[in-house]
Amino acid sequence: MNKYLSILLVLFITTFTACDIVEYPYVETTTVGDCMIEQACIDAAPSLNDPFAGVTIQKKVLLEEFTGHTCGMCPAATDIALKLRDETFKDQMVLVSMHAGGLAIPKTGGEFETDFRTETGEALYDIFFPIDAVPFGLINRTESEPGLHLFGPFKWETAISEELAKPVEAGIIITNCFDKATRELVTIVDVKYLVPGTDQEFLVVCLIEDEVIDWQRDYRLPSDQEDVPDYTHHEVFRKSLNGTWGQQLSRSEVPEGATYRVSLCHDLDADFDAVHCKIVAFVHNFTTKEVRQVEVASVE
Amino acid sequence: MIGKIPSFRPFLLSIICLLALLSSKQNLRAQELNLGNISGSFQTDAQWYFEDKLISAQTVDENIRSNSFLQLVYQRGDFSAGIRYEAYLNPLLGFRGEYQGQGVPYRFANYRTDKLELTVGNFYDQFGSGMIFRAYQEWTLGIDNSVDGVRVKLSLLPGFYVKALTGRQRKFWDKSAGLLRGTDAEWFLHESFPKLAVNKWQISLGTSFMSRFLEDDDVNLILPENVSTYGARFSVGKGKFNFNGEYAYKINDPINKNLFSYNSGNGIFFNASYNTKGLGIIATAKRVDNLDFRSERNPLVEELTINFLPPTTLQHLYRLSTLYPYATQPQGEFGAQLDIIYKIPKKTAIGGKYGTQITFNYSRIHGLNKTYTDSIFKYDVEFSPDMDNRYFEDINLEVSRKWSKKLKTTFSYINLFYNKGVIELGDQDNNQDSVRINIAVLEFTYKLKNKQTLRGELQGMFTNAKLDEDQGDWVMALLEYSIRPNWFFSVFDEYNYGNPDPNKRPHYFNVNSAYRFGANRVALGFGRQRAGLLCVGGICRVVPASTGLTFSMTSTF
Repeated sequence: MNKYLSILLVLFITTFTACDIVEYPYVETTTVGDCMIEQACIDAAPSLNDPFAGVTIQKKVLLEEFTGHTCGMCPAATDIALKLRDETFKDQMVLVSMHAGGLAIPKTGGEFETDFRTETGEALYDIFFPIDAVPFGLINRTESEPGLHLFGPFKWETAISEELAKPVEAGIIITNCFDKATRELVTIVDVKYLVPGTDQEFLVVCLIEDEVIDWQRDYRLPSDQEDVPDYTHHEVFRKSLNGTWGQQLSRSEVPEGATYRVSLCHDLDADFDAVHCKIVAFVHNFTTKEVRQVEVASVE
Repeated sequence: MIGKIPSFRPFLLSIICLLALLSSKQNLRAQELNLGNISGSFQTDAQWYFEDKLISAQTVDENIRSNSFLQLVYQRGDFSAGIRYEAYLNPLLGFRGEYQGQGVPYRFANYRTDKLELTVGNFYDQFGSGMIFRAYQEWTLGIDNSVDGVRVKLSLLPGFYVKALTGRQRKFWDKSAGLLRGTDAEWFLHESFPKLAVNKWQISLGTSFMSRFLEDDDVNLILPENVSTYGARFSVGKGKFNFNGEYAYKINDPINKNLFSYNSGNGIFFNASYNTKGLGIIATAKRVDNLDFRSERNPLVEELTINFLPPTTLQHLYRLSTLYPYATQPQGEFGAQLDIIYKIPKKTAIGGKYGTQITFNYSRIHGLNKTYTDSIFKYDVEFSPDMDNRYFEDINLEVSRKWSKKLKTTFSYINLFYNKGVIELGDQDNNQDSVRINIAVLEFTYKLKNKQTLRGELQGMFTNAKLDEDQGDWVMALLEYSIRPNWFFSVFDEYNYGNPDPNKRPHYFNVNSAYRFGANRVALGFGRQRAGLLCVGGICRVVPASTGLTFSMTSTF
């Protein structure tokens, strides 16, 4: 009997060494794609064990303002949006300015040549806009009336207030680590669900740039001055870092209290001014398209 | 660095030349010089494809395609060596395009004595029921996951057998990136302790281990490079009873097929049987969770499987009943099967003069209830089956009776529940797109004079399908005429008369003939092949619709 056991023992001691068990969090914490995450950045991000410890989660609302540089009505709408954010709702509102549709098409001849349109912006415009018309906005991508998601500028305040009155459903923390020399941007997003979610919860992480000086038509000005060459565009949507609809957080229903971490790496375009760039992250239900929570943080 | 098959060409050419030389002189001098002997087998399957819009049959630019192989094995005393030449010119429709080409993907040398067996090159093998490791070839499915490497088998103590192997699996004309290392030990106690055998006990214990090394090439995820499965098995038999079982466990192995889950996997399989004169009962149960084990992380179809999950459903043979076969779901399933075969004694009122055989089979498969926890990478799973998520159910009864020396009939009734969303689309949470199917088959065999036999089948299949894409009801009739041992002719027609789309109610008419001479068989056929799943042992591949002339030849020598 001992001979049998000896052979078995030798056999399995030599082979059982070939096992690699990977523990949570499974994702690379020191690299994202081809980027290396500096230790300082890891230290700056919340603790993986309990990223929301000591954090008071506040409800925030996303206003996606659809605009176009040859839309003469749009600057007035933008002013409404900025006033709502800066004076009324402050930190509880996140503004993204999406250039899309016919009035965002660039021109030739020296004026309005910049193409602010993006793949994501056009995709959203195709889905949410039954007619080619700006300025309109999406408020947390909720319905303004059955089957329609568009809110006119004068309905934004009411719609945002109604959204803010709803219970807070999730928390988001954004940690940006930007290397000025290489222009490499690592974004770490932590999400916590305060309510149970569905199996269709998606996280979108996108880049916006503030204070972009370029042409804009403004009908509030005299007709011979309405094409403004040095208009200041605010919170211009530049790109989504993880696709138009983002990435799925869970393949089954999200339990209350669940936390997720998503890390993304991006080389910031040379044309973008890092000082004015921000990362906007929001979680939404892919089926209903409604946004549950949004957060914004400066790149630098 | 992955070895490429073409790099072995000089070696292979040498072996082929040697075999040819030996073969030419074999008959002449084999007796006096003992040069050994050569055995082999050959098969070619060819089809000439015709355009047939009614069944959306695919055509191919080259009109004719074929799959062929020739296997040669040379043996002298304890030594054997062999090669297999394969040619896919070009692969028949339904086979993977990656097979296109020809070459020698299989060659081996083997030395075997009572206590030792050494193999270098390609080999097939299996540990236990296969839940941890099974390298096999299934020509009809286009599966060949042979291992190219080194294998040692030892039997140093009575009844105690040990295997150890290492190598890479075949990947069409290449090899897998993953490297396999495995061991298996099996102890037949009734051989070690003869007293057990005297008392008609047959007891064996076994344990296996298999590890795959595959480099972590993912930039975002931390992937385990050494993934292992291990398990244990037993078999206890005495007289008419036998009970065997196996448990397998796999550590975390995020791959495409399991949506990069970091859960560990496991499987458990039990089989109990009772056999006595005129009665056989077999009960089988199996539960698997996340036990798809592959040599690489990306494959989504049938290639590069390291293990095999034994099916717990009956593999039907009647043509219409093969329209809804069950494909094993390695990501999670709980199944059970009961087989009862009873032969009513002959010369009784019910059994008749020659006896009547009744075969009852019931199988049922359910999914597992999984809940993803705090990330997309991990889930909780309940041990019990998810009773709200039925994948498959099969109730079938077969009554076979010989009425006279010439006439025998078989009646079969099959009732299937088929979850199309799970089995065909792989959507494990889909319990909506299901079909209930009733199939009745009447078969007769009538022996004529001079070794001639007539065999016929009438089949009807009736579904309650609500799905637009389902094909509805079918009928089928077949007539075969054979003259033993040489000639065989058959004609059959499958008619999809119940297709919801009146424009898609074709007749699948086929005529076939075959001629056998010695160990050779040549077959010629013409007709339509319907689209669907072709399954062997729970492993399936999709077969497209086609119309054409088929030719096949098999030969062994």
